[in-house]
Amino acid sequence: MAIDYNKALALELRTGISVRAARVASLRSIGAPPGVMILFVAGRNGPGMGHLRTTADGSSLQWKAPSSTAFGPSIDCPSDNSYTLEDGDDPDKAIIVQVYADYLEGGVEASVLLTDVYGNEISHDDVTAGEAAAGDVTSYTIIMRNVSAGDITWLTVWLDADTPNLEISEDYATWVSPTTEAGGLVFPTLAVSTYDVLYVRRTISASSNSDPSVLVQLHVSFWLNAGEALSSKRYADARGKYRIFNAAEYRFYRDNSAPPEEGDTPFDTNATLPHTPTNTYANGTWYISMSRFNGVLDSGFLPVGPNGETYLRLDLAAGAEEGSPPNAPLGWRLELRPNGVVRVIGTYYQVGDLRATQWAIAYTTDESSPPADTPDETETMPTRGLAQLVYDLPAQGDETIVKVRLQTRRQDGETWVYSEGSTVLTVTADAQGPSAPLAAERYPGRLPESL
Amino acid sequence: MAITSYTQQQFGTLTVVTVVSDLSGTIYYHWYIDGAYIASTQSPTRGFTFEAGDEVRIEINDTNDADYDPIANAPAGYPAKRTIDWIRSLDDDVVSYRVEQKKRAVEWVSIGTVRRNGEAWSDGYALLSPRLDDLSTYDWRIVPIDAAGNDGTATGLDSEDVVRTPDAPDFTISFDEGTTKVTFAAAA
Repeated sequence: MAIDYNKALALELRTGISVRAARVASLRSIGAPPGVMILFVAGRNGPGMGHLRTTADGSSLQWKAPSSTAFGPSIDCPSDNSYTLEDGDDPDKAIIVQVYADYLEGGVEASVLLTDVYGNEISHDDVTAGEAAAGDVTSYTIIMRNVSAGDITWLTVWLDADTPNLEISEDYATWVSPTTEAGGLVFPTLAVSTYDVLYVRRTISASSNSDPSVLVQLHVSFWLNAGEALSSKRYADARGKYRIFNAAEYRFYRDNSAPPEEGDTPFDTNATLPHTPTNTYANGTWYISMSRFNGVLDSGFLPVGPNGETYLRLDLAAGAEEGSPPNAPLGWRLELRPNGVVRVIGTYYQVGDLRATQWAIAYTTDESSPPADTPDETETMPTRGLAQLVYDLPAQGDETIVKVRLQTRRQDGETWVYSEGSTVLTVTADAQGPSAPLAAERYPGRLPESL
Repeated sequence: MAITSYTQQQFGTLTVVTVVSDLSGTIYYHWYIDGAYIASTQSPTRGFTFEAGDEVRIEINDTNDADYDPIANAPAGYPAKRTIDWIRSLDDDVVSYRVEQKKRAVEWVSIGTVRRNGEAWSDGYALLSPRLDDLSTYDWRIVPIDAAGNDGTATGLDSEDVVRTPDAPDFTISFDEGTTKVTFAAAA
């Protein structure tokens, strides 16, 4: 195990500590009001939407961190310079901005989107698939320098409770994983312009599962001493994300009762295509899907079917493949017409070789359920586009109960293949109009207004 | 809360998604594309328009809670594009900005030009990248251009190792009646 001193970095503890030329960027930012450029966002802000605004006269700025309830104090920005702005709820949620005073505008509020950073000096590099399989231990250093005007005392470092795989040390000999400030690693007093080293060790156990987003979050507290009566306690966070890769693979799914769903367990995996799993297929209907796993993220299923299905269908009978049925109607209903006529109205859409060629209508008038796949009436469909059915069944006697089943069908060779999952709708035929008005009379000219 | 099933239908560039929730009563559906909140509806059906070749991840959160915060509860997203955003140059003779992209440190390629937006500080200065290749390293820079066509000093962004939801594979299957096994292959 070796310490990667090339990764030694500057941990910006807000106003207190910094090292080398660049601060560690815990968060990225997008958005700023006119005349302002964000230079640095303290990790303690956390990700989310912050707000930066100018006062009405445009002479000063205020910051409100994500999830905060109040803007911080107004900071006068009279000239081109950098300024530190604090949040109203938590002054350690601070940002540093560069101001171009001539361009400031009064009464402007800008949303500032803060997002986590991957692979910075806090989180270190991603874990490769090989490292995740074999296990990996990486050590690196974080250098903390006091750039304030006074001593820093009680410098304490601990881990966020949700940060996995990490240990810290002040001597590279004793490693701890404290998750509370009380149990944190306490460093000796840092005099002005001096620094101390925090050692970090990341241990990835063998056969670790992939993870697209592992957050490393270090909490720091310290007392900033600017004279006996001017000590103040400060908090800071340093954060970053990394990924744990596993081997990339194709994932294969199948089910003989319903289409596979994303998140199901694949029945087989393989690094490359083409691939023939050893599993065999019995007679019946099989729904088959496939996804790509890049080592951390799964693609989900592509709509590979002609109508957006996320699966391919395999129908087997007597050990051989047969054509899958056409889709069922998109929707359909029955409508009563005069003289006992029942109108069947339906719509259908499908592209590709499996598209139906006919509507298949079965109906009964003896209250029995019309059987599937045995139509009494058929109607030819257009060969492409949306098919619409408006079909009047033969007139029935008044109050005859009419039951209707609507399917689509396609002829494969000598066999008609019908859509599946059909339902039956019932309606009572109406062959008689309403009874006559009870009386009628006439009157010469207009009726008197008083009538 | 759970979405128990969904269907999607494509009509050219229009994709219509319908979901089924196991909730009852008034249900609020919150729709996301690649982890970014898009809209909330009480209808379980919504249409989306995508460019040819686009591949996105649509996710739906269903709830009975009228006060549900769809942004705070957004799913993690790993989109295939990046928005390149910048603040204006202070030079008055800038007429446009050219955004360039470099993949695997090969060469810079222009991905678009944005005209100067008057005296705006940052409004209008954003460009959506094309779809980026998974597991590849990209750089971007913004080059200011003056009226004579001179390139000014570019502002670069840190390199990014793009790790995004991989493209879902388009595939075919072939059934072997002799072995009763299925071979998976990439679609041509």
